Amino acid sequence: MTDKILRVDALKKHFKTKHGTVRAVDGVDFDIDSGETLGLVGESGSGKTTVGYTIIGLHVPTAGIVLFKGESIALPVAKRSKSIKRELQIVFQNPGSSLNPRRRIEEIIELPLRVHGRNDHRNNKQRVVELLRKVELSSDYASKAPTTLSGGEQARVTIARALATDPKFIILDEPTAALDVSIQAKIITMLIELQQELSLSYLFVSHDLSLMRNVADRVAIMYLGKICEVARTAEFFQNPLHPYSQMLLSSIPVVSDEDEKLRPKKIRVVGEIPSPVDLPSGCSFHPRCPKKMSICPQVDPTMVAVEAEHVVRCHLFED
Amino acid sequence: MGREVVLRIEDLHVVFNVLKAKLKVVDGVSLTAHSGERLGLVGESSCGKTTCGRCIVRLVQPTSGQILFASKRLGENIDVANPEGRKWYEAKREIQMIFQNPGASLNPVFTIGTQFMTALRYARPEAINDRGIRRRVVEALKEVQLPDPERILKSYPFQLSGGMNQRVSIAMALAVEPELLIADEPTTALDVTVQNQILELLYALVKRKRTSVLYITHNLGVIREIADTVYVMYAGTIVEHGNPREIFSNPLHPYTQGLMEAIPKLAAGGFSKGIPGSIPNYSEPPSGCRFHPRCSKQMQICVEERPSFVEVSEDHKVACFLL
Repeated sequence: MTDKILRVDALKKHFKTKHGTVRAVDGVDFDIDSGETLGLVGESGSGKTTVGYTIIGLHVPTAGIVLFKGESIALPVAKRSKSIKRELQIVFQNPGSSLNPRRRIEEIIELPLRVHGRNDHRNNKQRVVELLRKVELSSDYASKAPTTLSGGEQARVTIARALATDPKFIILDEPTAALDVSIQAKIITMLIELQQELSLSYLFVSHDLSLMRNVADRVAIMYLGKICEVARTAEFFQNPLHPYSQMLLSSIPVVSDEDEKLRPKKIRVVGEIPSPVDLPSGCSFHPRCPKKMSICPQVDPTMVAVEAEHVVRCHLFED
Repeated sequence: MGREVVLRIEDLHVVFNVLKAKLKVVDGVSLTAHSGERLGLVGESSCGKTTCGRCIVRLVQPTSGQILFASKRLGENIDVANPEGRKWYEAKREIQMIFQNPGASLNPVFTIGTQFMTALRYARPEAINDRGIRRRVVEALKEVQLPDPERILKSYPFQLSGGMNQRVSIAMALAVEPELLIADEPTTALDVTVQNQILELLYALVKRKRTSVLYITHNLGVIREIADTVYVMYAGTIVEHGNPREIFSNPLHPYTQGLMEAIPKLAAGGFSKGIPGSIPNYSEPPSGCRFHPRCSKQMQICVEERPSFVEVSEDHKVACFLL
């Protein structure tokens, strides 16, 4: 039994706006073993990025528990201990916009070192080169400006910056969403190698199920601020239970005959994701669900364990 | 039914003058679209696929080459690259393009209704009075399954979601009943479930109206789903073309192979480490085959000469010296 590096329990994050309260994250539970990759998958607006931001401390949760190595981190970033900030890092979605265009790569990667009290510039310089090497960039990149780099190189720099403080846990928020597949393949392969080398745990936020099939140990499917299914990756792709998971999986365009056999039969997609300000009653998926029952609009289902490591939030599986 | 040729592009070259450099972005592209055929043009970012599409609607003037379009209105073939007199003004009503980013291609200061009706009034001068046009617009919006078309007519693009805007631009392009539709990454910014809806819709409409489609995307999965013929593009050249199922199950060009191996698959088993190197600098593209600096099977001849297409089967042609 490995120890849990991160535990999230009944996490809620609501935003108050002019038009009402946006329930971006509305009761999310999951945990991550140390050394594991959990793929958090959902469509735009499902709240997956907000979950990441709440864990890293960019948002303070409205309610719920976030434990990192057993210590509560449901606090604003300023109140967290330095060691937790050091061990918890994030790679943002759009590498281009998360790099300061007026700083050189060297300064960008050095900044976290200085924040954590390492002010010896000569040592830091060495460390920057070492980090660049880890992400397969030559030391020439140190003096370049972020805007002169390609998308793939920018992604590497953001990864190097996240690695600067020797973290244990990294939130990867769609690090390759904007990249071509041939470049994505390089970055992902590198991330997997880094994970083994540095024994990292990842929370991999993504909308790409086929990518998660190859990267994640377990996947959690998110819809409108709630997790509707969590399972081991192989098990999930063999036997997706939640109607939303099935719909999502059947919508993926595949490239080979082999994949087409693995994909569930096409399910007609109806409607769009409802607004998180005005959530449907009961199960929030019921207006689009092909297997809707009379109970669905009335009662919100609870998580049921179908198998040891396969939980699903759907009335179809409740006794 | 005969397979009439609707569009024939021959040896298209586009060179952009940027400062002192000349960027040879499209370098000898040829392709043919038949009536009712769905063509896929696939390649990674900056391989020149959008430029090809824009040449067909004359947003980009090709440097050399021919783009022959069989205009039904004129009853003759016109060369889009160099049309005579005012012929293009007639023919262009028969070609429509859906742009990559609907948020940017719809005008933010006019309501959907205003711009849609203007477009239709211009494209179909015979569609008489305003009431008739309005009715057609509402019909077109219903066809793409947008709920409450009357409300959408009164909305501005920023009041609608990305998926809805994209459906508006698809409705706009199809309402004209074009002979040729150029769809440039119409679903790239959308979620897979919405993408699925839009592809189904496009498929159904195209089938009914027998429109030819040139579908430009970087997503090979989408191409496999909807295209009859695929053209794989690399650095301004076509490297392989034919039936998508045939090509994706048996890719023969090293670039297509590399691309296929890099795609994460549902069957797991991981993926390759990608293709070494990056896309070449267009101001000084590699001699011979443009893929040779990244190719693992490079030979001497690849540096010297441009490969021509080899017919592997009727539905599969490859430009590579290995064959």
